[in-house]
Amino acid sequence: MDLQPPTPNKDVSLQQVGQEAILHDRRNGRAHVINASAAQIWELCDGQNTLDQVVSAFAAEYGLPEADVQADVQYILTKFHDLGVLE
Amino acid sequence: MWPTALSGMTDYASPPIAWYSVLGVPVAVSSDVGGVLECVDATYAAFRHAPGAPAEVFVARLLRLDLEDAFLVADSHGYQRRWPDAHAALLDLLDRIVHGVLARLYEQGIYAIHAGAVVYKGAALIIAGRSGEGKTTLVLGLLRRGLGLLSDEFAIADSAQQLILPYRRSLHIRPGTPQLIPELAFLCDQPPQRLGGGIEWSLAPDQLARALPGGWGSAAPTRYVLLLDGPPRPQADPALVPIPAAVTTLELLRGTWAASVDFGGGLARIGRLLDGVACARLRAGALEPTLDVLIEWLEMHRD
Repeated sequence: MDLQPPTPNKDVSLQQVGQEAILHDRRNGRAHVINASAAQIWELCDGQNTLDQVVSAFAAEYGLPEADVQADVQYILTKFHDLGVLE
Repeated sequence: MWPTALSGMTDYASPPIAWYSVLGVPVAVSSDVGGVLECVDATYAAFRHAPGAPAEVFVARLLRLDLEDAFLVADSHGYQRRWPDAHAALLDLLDRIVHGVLARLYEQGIYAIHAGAVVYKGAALIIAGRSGEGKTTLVLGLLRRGLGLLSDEFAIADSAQQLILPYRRSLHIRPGTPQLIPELAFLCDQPPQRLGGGIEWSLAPDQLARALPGGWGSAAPTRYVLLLDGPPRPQADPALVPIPAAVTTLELLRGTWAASVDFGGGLARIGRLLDGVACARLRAGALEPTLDVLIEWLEMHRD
């Protein structure tokens, strides 16, 4: 597991729209629609929170055990890496 | 005739000039080619304005270049292009007027979305779709059902007030539409024109107000957005599928001039405009059944 705090790229912004959100990458003009859960995880990635802290905060938001959400959070973060929106 | 010559405008022969104020944007159009100003006026008659030359006036012109056997379209934003025939130049002139107005509106924080807009019980419905997908016919059908028209070509979004504003430009009606909208049968007796969408009739705002019960609506907050999914399929049942507002935001942005200038800014404004708005994709069938489905959806999502 990567121990570096997940950090959003400074050229990527989040725009909330209704139940979803849009990640806009100014480097290539791409826009990605993400669901509410992914948007919450994005906002927890502030360059300070470690992965464990992101999982903990996300689990607390939904009132779930950390073990139940860890895989989902890692999956979302992997997707963010694949999209190139994290440092 | 409307055109008024005004001294002080450059060009060797001081061609006639027509003056307009389009959503507060002063526009002056000049041409020395016969029929051009009449064609422009057929579209913008509702925006006629007294002659004047404010510093911020947007100027567009179409001039004959006798020595080159060509036509020049130019505007006060520095655009210039030569055309071999007058009709192509006319379409370009109409396009430049649109661009000039949209650019000025953008500077004021007003976004123009390539879409129609109507008012249903005090709330705005935006209808977006490509040319030829039946947007105008659907809009006119809704007017027959009593909705009020805000615009046929551009939904004008005032992002500060979160309102869709009326844009009372003449509508361009294609052949076949009067058969679906019987109140417009009188258009068949009028001479059509060759405009951007082919052979079309211009339906002036006052003609529209007399012909259809809904007439023109007042500025209204956005409550609904409909994306047309291809041209109508008269043999099939209409289908209306809800879609996320975020997806709708991106699709509307594609039809926004401002997005080409500032995508991020447009994303923020359109995103805020659609927050809490009911969005759906419509595959239209025959007109009346489609209108039935649409009205039911509008009523279901009223506040």
